[in-house]
Amino acid sequence: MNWLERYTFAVKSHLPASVRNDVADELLSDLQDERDYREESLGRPLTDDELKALLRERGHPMLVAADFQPRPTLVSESLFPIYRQLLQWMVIAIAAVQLCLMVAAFAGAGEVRLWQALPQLLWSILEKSLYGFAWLTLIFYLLGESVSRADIFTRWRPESLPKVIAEGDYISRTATTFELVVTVYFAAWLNRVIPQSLGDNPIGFVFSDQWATLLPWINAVLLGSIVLAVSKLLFPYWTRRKIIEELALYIPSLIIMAVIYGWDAPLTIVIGTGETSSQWAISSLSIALAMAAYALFALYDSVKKIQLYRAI
Amino acid sequence: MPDDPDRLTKLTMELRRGLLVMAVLEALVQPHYGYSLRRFLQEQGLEVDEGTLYPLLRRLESQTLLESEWQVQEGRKRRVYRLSKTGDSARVAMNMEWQSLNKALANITETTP
Repeated sequence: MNWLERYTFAVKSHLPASVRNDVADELLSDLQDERDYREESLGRPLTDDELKALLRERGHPMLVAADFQPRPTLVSESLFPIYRQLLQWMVIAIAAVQLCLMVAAFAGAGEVRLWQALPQLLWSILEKSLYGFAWLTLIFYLLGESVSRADIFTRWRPESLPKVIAEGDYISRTATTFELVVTVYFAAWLNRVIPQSLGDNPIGFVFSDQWATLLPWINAVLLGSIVLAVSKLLFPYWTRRKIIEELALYIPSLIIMAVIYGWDAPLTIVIGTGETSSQWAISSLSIALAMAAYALFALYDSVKKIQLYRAI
Repeated sequence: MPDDPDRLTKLTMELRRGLLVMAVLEALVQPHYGYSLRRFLQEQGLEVDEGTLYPLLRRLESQTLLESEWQVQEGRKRRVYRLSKTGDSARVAMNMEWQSLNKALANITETTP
């Protein structure tokens, strides 16, 4: 086997089976023609070093073969924007599902160590996202060039564009993620999915019996907040509908707080167990202050949202 | 930076890529095998490396713009390419487009101070 044949053989090993022999034959023929041309110009056969120089000019066999690969990218250039958007949504969905699964896993658990649970949650989000990334990439690779983005968006109409203000800011995804995590965790805590004591010390909250009657309503508000937070993560801009939903959630929240304010000792803090335990009923004043703070924040936020609503 | 040599090379390559298809279609009005086509283009002043030309020939053939057949010439197996009917129509259309683009470019250059 001479240098040219050895080179062709090496290129062949990197080629797809369907074109392997065809491309290799053509490459060998081209190399032989080039060798003949150079020999004719020099008036003598090429030396081994000159043949090797010719092959060096052609480049590494793997690179030569790469030019014949049917498609050198995993995701076609035209589908890449769709791929990136789906990847983003997928990671958000995975994070939301993992968060809910973590909360569900706490149900019935004797104790919860947040400092252990959080790294586990982050790791599981990363792990699942990597699997999702691989699957999504595989799907797009298989789709290949057979689907173009024009096919996917063929039914798109300008009327579907969201009504937003030109200079409107996007909703911070970090803030929304924080809001989502806190809301899910609070809902789990309130519904005793996770223990209501804090840390290793037996510090707990005792809710009065009246809470049971209000719990479905509180859960409804929390569920609404979670759905809205997910919607803000997926589509991080303010529309009139989102503003109305956000403002609408303040109304039941304030009503619920007003009802709680009317109760006698709705919440008691318990520290310790057995005979050594001590209890503190949270005073009406503390509850009133917390509610006033929330009401003020709700008022401030509502004014801003109404201004934004009018600007849209 | 417009005078960045890498960027300039990329811009030149982009420009050549489209023109190369035209040049190959024009050249293959007469049948050629790969090496003879490369030599022919080179003699006309268009240097093309094999890593560009052969994959391009295959792509154009898969798009039915070219036809090819293996022949034995001078005791050597050679794949001879020729323009198909579709390829000939594409060649005429591209030529017209090229004339029109050239004219537009000349107009732009003239009207730009």
